[in-house]
Amino acid sequence: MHISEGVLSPPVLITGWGLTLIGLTISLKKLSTRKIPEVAVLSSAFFIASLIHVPIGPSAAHLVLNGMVGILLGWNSFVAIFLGLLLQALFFQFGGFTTLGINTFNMAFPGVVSYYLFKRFIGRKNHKLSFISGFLAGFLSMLGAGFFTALSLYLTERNFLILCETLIIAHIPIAVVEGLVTGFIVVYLLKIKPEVFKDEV
Amino acid sequence: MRFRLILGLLSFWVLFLYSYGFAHKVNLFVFREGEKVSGEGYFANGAPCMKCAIEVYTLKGKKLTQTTTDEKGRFEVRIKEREPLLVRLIAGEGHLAEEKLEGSIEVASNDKTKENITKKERVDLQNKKDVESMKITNSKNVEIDREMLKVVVKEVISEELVSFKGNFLELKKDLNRVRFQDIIGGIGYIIGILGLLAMLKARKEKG
Repeated sequence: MHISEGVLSPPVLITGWGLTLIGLTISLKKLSTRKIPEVAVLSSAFFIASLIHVPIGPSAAHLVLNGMVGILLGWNSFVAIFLGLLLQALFFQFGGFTTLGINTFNMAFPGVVSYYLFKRFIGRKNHKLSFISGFLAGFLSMLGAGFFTALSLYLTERNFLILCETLIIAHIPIAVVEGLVTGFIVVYLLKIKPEVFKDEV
Repeated sequence: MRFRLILGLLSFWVLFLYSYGFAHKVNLFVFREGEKVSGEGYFANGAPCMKCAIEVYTLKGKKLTQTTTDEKGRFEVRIKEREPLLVRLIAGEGHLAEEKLEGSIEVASNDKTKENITKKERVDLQNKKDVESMKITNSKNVEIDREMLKVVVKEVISEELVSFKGNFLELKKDLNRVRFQDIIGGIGYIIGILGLLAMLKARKEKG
């Protein structure tokens, strides 16, 4: 999911930065002081999630948690994911500074879409539906991030089908795991801190 | 109750599947010895980068050759150009590692002579002849073939360097591993930056 330096063409990098700056502007406008501690916690979770890898056949994929960040923060996930990616690039050289824009958009935008699609179904009354909504948010956000990564690479390399096959089909198992993790967290938060789902962003 | 049971089973499966490790950052380790350019590609957790594409370029961007890594993530190519090189490891899915190599000082390679006897034997032979001629002429100006001496020294150094290269690679892998203090430091930065943002927002709201 983390596109390295030197892979993408300048127009793709500039477009990525443009989209991310739009996302960050909306995010910072919507961000309330009360919501900042939540952003900090979720940004930290996102920062660590990439260090947890799941073995898939001969290879391994890592968690992203963009679905969980998206469903809890909405547009504010742009700030959380941008910060997480910036520090991952700084400390672990995951991704890179020129690709920070496109990587942020690829991971944050599917989370925002999930927020608008599934947030309405999450509530205290029905844990089963909340779990399924959380699962779908995690699952589809991961696949969405894979799709946008493939699209970014396609705009440089032009072999979209192969990239889609590698990035989306190969990430289905990790997307399932991601969906389960998000589902569990949603149900757990509904039990211990249901007010986190009440905030409008 | 049934729902809770399913959740319990799924959580067990998730915990069973998980192992803590490192993400897919790819690293490249390259050595240049004369015409031989060899190296190893590995992920941040030390796992080999198998069947990954290797491309060798000049610094001006001219592609010289390409190959793929083997099952241990290793590769070896022969480059005749003496100039500095850029080696790229393409692991797919947007993962890439690059390493620059200094220009080679000397192009002399181990394949230089095609005789049946080894170079070492040839030098030994040459030395014997020199000693004999020295005995005969009792001259002080004994000259050993410089090229042959270089080849032999190179062979010996190469043998000695094998273990050094292995240790060096292990050390490099260790340095590339994610350290606990970096994780803590990263979280600290996140809290610090967002704390600063909260302070600025609070001031703005007050004013």
